[in-house]
Amino acid sequence: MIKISKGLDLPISGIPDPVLSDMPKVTTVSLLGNDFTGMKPTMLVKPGDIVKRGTKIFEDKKNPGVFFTSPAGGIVKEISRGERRKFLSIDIEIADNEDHVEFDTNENTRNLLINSGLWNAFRSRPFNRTPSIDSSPNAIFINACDTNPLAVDPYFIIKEDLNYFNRGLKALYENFSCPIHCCYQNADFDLSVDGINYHQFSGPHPSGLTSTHINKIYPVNLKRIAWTIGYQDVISIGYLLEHAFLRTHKLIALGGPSVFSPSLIKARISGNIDELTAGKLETGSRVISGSVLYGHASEGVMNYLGFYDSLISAIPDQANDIFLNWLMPGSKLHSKLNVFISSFLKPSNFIFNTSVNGGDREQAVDLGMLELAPEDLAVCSYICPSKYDYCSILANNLNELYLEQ
Amino acid sequence: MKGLRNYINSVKPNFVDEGKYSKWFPLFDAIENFVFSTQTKTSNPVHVRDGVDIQKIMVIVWLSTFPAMFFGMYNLGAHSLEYLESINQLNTGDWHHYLVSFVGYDSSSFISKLWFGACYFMPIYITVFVVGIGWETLFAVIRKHEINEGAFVSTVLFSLSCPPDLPLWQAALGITFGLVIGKEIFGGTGKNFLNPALTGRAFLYFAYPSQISGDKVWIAGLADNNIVPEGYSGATALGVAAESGMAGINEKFTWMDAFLGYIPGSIGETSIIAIGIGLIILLATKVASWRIVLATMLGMIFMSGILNIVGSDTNPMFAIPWYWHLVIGSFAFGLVFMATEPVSGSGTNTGRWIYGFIIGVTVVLIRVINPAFPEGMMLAILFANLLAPVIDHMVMVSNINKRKALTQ
Repeated sequence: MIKISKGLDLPISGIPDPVLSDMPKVTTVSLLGNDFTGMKPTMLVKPGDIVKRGTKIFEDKKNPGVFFTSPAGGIVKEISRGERRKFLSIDIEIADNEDHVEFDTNENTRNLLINSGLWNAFRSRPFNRTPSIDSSPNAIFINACDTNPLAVDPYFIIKEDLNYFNRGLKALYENFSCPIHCCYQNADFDLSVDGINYHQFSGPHPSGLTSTHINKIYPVNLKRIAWTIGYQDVISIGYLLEHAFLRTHKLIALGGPSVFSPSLIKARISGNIDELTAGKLETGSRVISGSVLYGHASEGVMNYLGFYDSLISAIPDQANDIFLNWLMPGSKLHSKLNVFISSFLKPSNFIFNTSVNGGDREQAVDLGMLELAPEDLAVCSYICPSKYDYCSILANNLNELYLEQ
Repeated sequence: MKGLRNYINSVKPNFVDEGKYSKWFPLFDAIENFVFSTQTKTSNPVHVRDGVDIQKIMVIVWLSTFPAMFFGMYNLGAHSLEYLESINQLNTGDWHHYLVSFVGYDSSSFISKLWFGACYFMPIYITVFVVGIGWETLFAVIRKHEINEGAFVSTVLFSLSCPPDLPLWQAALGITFGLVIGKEIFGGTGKNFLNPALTGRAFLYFAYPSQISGDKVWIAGLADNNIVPEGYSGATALGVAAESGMAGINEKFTWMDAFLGYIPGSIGETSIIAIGIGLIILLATKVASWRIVLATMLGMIFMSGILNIVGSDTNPMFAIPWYWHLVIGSFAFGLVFMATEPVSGSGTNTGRWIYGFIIGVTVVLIRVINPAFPEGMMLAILFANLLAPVIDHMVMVSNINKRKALTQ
């Protein structure tokens, strides 16, 4: 077992129960450009077109041969673009009798993943982007941990789809000649697939982040490439191999102080968040796809479950307005430092809302920047008393480095 | 409360974007943040933030100086009243005494001792505070950054290191040099490579040595009257040690006096107990790095131990043991409030051990070996401030080499 001692678990309320409570009805799904770093789409469909679940809807201009497929069968409703025509999202309205593409599961698995769009489940380090279709990694990391605030131990989710998960693992082992590392946190985790290197991690967040696993097991640089993939997508690969079509739903956690009954829900993949959370939240909440430390707020065109997300978090959307705050003991504010009386009184609930409260690049590469993805610095952003956002800074630096290559 | 918030919101448009007084936004912002916490909301991708901000940290450091400040005022009053009594001349005619006479000269009253000290300390502090915050505001308005509460801390620390009779214009000049040259021209709080309070203190030390060093400046009125009764000395314990070593110290002070703080010295530096309360606050809140504190102590014990063993026939300072170095001069004050300043100190944990150790070794070296300056803490910290970037660089290079070995 690899123990991580440094880190921070936020004492946030609304931890989800690992039991399924609902399968909400969803009528629209959407792929969000924001999920795919550096991706520029060449559209293969236009609004009004009828697509099946699994139909190719765009290709990455910057990474030829990488296709994105429709997560549902229905009608392409809208393609949204932002400043300088940056691609934001493509919405698809689900048809009542949804149709799907039948894939040929007898062809080689690499082609199957590329044609089904599941190739995008892989992200390569350094740079955290979808790998090109003819590249090969030196190692693959499967993340079956989740230490984000409000996350559920993936063990409880994988348990429900264990056959698909193990079938996905087996397929990865059989089709990639590099070492396959599967990192997990629960002692009861199933370790039965031959050839997979299982590693147990424990400790506070970020012990469950892929970068932590990579750092401990196989540090990367420009010549040592690791691919990463989440447990949800391994289940999706197993499902695809079994049924020859894409799965429609995944189990995700819904939690946070603004959620009435925090639990697991069976969510439509890429589904509309308003529909997924209808009737489950207090009003005036900020709903986040992902964790409170790293995720996107479900506003406007971003109102959809992210491609890689297994969690929806909801917190009160308000800033504190505390009179003479600098003098107040802070009985309900949380800090990594013991600057509030809360450190000594240990209250059971803290105010976690949307209140702000308040080098040299060569060297950065040598120090291991290439091993990182923006989510890794979320805890640093959280504790920073000057309220810098290190996630965005890292994202910009990685992007510049990538473009220089 | 609601009315106040509504009023602030109603005048806010004048200070933002194209408003009439948008130039003065930093000042408005500072006042708003003083009254209420910031109303800014988080944005993608990090949706929750730690409750602490720079303002809170600075206020904690500021409050942690209060025990030393109040004890220092009392101690100054006690020593000065005793001196004035011994020369039978209570009111020296100095302008401070206009204030002192409100309470009186009873050298057995706690209140009048505290008041006497306050009459000398508060004018210095108020001057330094107003001038310091003035510079901070001016730079914030010109540079369009926030007014930073760091100036709270710099001004109180600078004031606590001053002698009581310091002319106010010198105090203003000192803090100006410290904040402008030591901090603002490098970009403000967070970018200063020297401790601003110490920079200002060092400037005064070299520019006006007669008002800030020697054995007559630490008792209010002593330098002005220039009457020294027989057997009386206003010298600090460190000054005595530099003259005549342990023999001289033992003649005039007990270790317990020095530990409790009943010895002459600058306002903030004398009481290890009062400074210790500040240290406990800073360590318990994790605002100060315990590594720097421990490393500085170890460095000081190590170096004084070596010099004790080496010994010297001509320099009595060689024989001063570590537990005396701890309680005399500004070692404890500098250690707790200056060496732990995070911006000018080392930023890496390994670096903090090295940085602290260098301070500890250097302070003893300057005190013992250097014939010109008995007080070594100020210069030792400034010296280590200068080395801190090099130390951090070395730590990073060593991390890089470790990484290279891992990814080979």
